[in-house]
Formats: sequence, structure tokens, C-alpha cells
Amino acid sequence: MQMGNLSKFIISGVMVAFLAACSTTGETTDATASTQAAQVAVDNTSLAEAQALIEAAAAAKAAAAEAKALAAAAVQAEAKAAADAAKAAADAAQQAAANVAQQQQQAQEAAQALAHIIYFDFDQSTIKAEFRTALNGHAAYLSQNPSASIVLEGHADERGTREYNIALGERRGNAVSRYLVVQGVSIDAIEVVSFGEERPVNAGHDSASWSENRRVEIRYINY
Amino acid sequence: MRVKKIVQLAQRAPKPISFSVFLSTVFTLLFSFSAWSSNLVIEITQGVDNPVPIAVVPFQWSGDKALKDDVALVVDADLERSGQFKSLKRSLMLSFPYQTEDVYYRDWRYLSTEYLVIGQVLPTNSGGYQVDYQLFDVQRGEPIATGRFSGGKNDLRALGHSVSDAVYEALTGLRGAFRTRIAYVAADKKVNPSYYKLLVADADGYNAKEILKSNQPIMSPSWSRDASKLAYVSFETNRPAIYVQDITTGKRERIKSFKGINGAPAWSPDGGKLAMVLSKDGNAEIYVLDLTSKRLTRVTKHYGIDTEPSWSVDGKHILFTSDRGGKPQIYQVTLDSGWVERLTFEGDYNARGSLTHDGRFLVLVSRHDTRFHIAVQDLQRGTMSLLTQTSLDESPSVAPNGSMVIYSTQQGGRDILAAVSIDGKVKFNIPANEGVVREPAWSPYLN
Repeated sequence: MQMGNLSKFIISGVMVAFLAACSTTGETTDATASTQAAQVAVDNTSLAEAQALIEAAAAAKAAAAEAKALAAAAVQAEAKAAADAAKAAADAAQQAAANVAQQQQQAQEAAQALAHIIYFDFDQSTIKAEFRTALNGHAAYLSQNPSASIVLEGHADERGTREYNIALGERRGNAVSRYLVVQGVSIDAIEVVSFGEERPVNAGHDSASWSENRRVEIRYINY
Repeated sequence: MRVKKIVQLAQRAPKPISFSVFLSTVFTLLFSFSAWSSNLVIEITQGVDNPVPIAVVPFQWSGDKALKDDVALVVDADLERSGQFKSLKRSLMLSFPYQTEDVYYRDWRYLSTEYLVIGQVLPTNSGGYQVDYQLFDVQRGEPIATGRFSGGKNDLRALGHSVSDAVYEALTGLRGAFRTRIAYVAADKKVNPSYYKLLVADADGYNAKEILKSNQPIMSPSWSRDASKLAYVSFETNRPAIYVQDITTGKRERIKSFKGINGAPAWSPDGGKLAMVLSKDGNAEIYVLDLTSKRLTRVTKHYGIDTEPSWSVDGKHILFTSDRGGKPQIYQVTLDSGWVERLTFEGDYNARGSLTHDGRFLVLVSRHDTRFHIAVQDLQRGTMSLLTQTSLDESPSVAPNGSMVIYSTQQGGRDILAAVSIDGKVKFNIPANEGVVREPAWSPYLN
């Protein structure tokens, strides 16, 4: 059937035009191909048919142009989508990193906010219940941050002999160290240094001053 | 208590020349310091009931310029500080003799003086001084002792201390310890809360010299047997380490800096070893370091605190403080067998024990009714007696002749040094004119 052939032909022309539009080098060939196809049709058919074919070719040309525009838009959209996706990923990564840093910062601040001084009774190195929360906090931070390390500075009040007080200060430092190790802190993250009665916080000579001086100070070397 | 009189006639001849030359050398070394710090001031607070009256006449000097120091006043102050003598005021003296032929015993008897010291100062060829002295028994009307000392141009006070030593020995039979020194730690919290100094001064508090200054604690000075070096603990690296420093040259060496405690150095009687406390093996234990071979030997093994080592006179035992029985007490370990025995049983806090030169008395810190006192335990009789009644007394250090114990206490809320005789009868305070002073260590004899 003539019309069947014609429509087939037109479709072929549109396809060719579309393919040409889609190809990167087809910018100049798309309309030319349609015109050539129409020209062949003119040679083989009647004028009316030819007219119809020319119109069809024109329509095909317009469709091709449209298709070309569509295709270009599609490529652009795809690229944009990819770029958007990449950016989103980057943003997400950055956000995640920021979150980690923030969490680390928060954890560090939380560790810093914990009590850093543990007080003791006279001639005692027993850790009193009231300091366990703070010590647990330090233990959690230290076990989650293997690069962190601390010095436990042991101190005594001025009563008693100086070298005995050095040993007493160390015993207090060791008591805190053992507590932290039991909570999961690596022994390598802890150093105990005793200052005995040599570095009092309070220079007074009464029981209030003494109770301030019997202490272990937790000092972070690395967070 | 009366001083014991020497019965035999003392030597009249001057001391051998070689001794003078040796003294001169020692003095030149000891006194060639440039940086002098402020002095300590001695206040005698208690003496014996009946001190022996003695007169020390101003020493004759015929040089052009007045002497920097009054040698007779140095001797006067030394003898008074012993608590056993009461010296006659110059304004009451009827004459100032400096030669035997000018001494009129009757004049001195009239002033109720029992003993008389005269002397003169002469210049030496090397620009220093020579001091001649004579000691007389006024009641018997006869000379007891005479002697001569010489030293450099800055040694006048030291020469005076040598005269004091000779006079004291002639009258008591006990070697004098006036020409010795004390090392101590000073801190001035008002000036700077982290200001620490190690100083060395003459036994009478004069001629204080800075050995070390730090913004971290300095502790536990200990003299070498020849009194030329100090071992001490310094926290200058924020951790304790044991150092040995030559006090004349200032040259020093870091001996030990293990992880943990590095403390309480104590020189052995033969001078070749250093006892110390290390906690490198877990907790405070006593070790002995051979200074020649550098070999380190662990002496104690106990989970309790073992600290404050101090040598027996023969160097075969080490006394130490341990809470192995629950509370701190003094123990003694025999070095070759490792045998440990407890020495103190009275009270629940006895620490920092050390022995007198004859090994008879154990001097320590003892707590009674929450107060810390200096106490002495007679090892022959086993009795303990308190030497001080003040609180927070610590760091006792015995003079090389066993006569006095220097220690640190508190007065008006600050640390001062004080001394008490081994019988508790004589006391004096040595406040610093600035800051706080503590941890005195009495030197051995200087020669």
C-alpha cells in the first residue's frame, strides 16, 4: 500500500533525523537527510504525494529539531543530576565529618567538664563513691580514644614525713589508675606521678586546707 | 648538766703546719662562692639549767684595716648556741689580754668566769689569716689548750668555728661540730607559689649559698661523706629524678629517673653507695646503687610502702619506714641476709629514722595525739622520749657529733628550721628572713 510505504518512509525519515540529532556529529546532516529522503520520494511518486512528502519532511525536520533540543536537554539534565548527586554526596561526607569532629569535640568537652580532682580521706587511698561518675566518664573517653593519655598526679597533705607522703601520693594515684584500668582503659594511657605534700593547693594549716590537698589530679597529655 | 672537764693537760704546741695547709686548701675550695643569699638568724630559746660561764676576749688584730668578721664573737655565739655555755659580755671584762703573760686569773675569777679564751689574728703571706688561740681554766689558774688555724681571706668565720670546735672538745670531750654546714630547701610562696631553692649555709646560718633554683619541688638533700656533694630529688622535668651535685663546682649528674618514685637518696658511710626509693617495680621499695659499678640492688620486697632509707654506722644495715604492719613504723634490714626487724613499737606513726654517730640513739618523727614531734629512742634501753613539743615537726638531721638535731617546724604558719640537743635540754630556732625553709640536712665534718 502506497500510504503504508509512505508512512514507513516518513517514520524512517524521522528516525534518521532523530538519530542524526542524537549523534554528536549529526547537527548538519539531520535536515539534509530528510530533504534527500523527500527528494527520492519526489522522483518516485506523484506531485500530490510529493507535496505531502515535503510537508512530512518538513514535519520530520521540525520533529528532529525538537528531538535534538530534547536530547540536548536530556544530556544536560543527566549531567546536572550527576553533578547534583556528587555535590550531595560531598556535602553529606562533609557533614558526616563535621558530625564526627563535633562528636569528638563534644566528647572531649564532656571529658574536660568531668571532675579532674579526686579527693581522699586522711591516710587513705580508697576512692569514694562520689567520684565514680567522673572516673567512669574519664574511663569511657579514654577507652574510646586510644590516642588519649593522662597523668595522675598524687598529692598528700602536709602532715607526716615528706618522703612517706610521696609514697602515699603514689598509692592514691595507683588507686585511681587501677579503677580506670578495670573500666577498660589501657594501662599504657596512664602515668602516675606523686608530688607528695610538695605542691599544696591550699597553703593553710587546718583540716579544711588539708582535705583540699589530699587529692589526685587527672591531667590529659593528649585528648 | 655540767660539761665534763678534760683531766689531762692539753697540748700546748701549735697544730702541725700540714694541717694548716690542708685547712687552707679546704677553705679556699669551700668558700670560693660568688652568689651569697640572705642568712638565717639564730634565736636561742632554751639552754641547760646551769651553763658554764666562759669569757671569750676580743682577738688581737694589728692590721691597718678593720677585720670583716669578729672572730671572738663567732666563737662566743657558737658556744652559746650549744646551750652549755654562757659567755661573759665584753662590757664587763676588766682587760682584753691576748698573750698568756697578760692573763690575771684573779680578775676572771672575780667575774665568776670558769674558762677563758684569748687569741690573735695575724695576716698570712698568701693574703689570708692565721688565728692563734689559748684556753685557760680560770679556777685552776692554768692553760688547757692552745692551737693555730689558717685560711684564706674569706675564711675568718670558718677559722672562728675551728676555734669553737677545739674549745668545745677540750671542755666536753666531744668533738665540736661548729665548722660544719647545713643544706636546706627554701620556698617563698608569697613571692612566687612555685619558687624552690636548694641552699647550703654554715651551721650557724651564715654564708647561705644557692645550689639550685627551680619552679618545681626540690626534696631530700643528702650529704656525701666528704661533704663535697649533695644528692637530692628535683621535679624540674615535672617528674622526680635523683641528682648528685658538687657544691663547689656546681657540676651535677642525674643519677636515676625511672617511671614513678625516685626519692630519698642516702649516702652510705663508705661513700660508695647511694640508698634510694624507687617504685619502678610497682610500689615504693628501697634500692642500693653502687656508685662505682652502677649496679642497682633491690633491698626490700613488700606491697606496703618502704621508704626513707638511712644507713647504720657500719653500713651493714639500712633503717627505713614501712607501713607493712598497717601504720608507718621504723624497720631495719640487714643487707647481706635480707633479715628485717621492727625497731619502733610506741605510737602509731614513727617515720624517717636515723642514727646518731655512735649508733646508740634513733632519731625520728613520731605522732602523738595528732601532733608530729621529733623523738629519740635509746636503742640500748628501748625507751622513746619526745625532744620537741611543737606540732608538724619533721626532717630531723643529726649533727656529726651527735650533740644536736636540726629539724623543720612551723612558727606563725610558716616553715622554719630549729635545733634541739639530743637530751632535749637545748633549743634554738633558725628562722629565715624571707620565705619558708625546710628539710635541713646537717653535713658530716668538713675534713
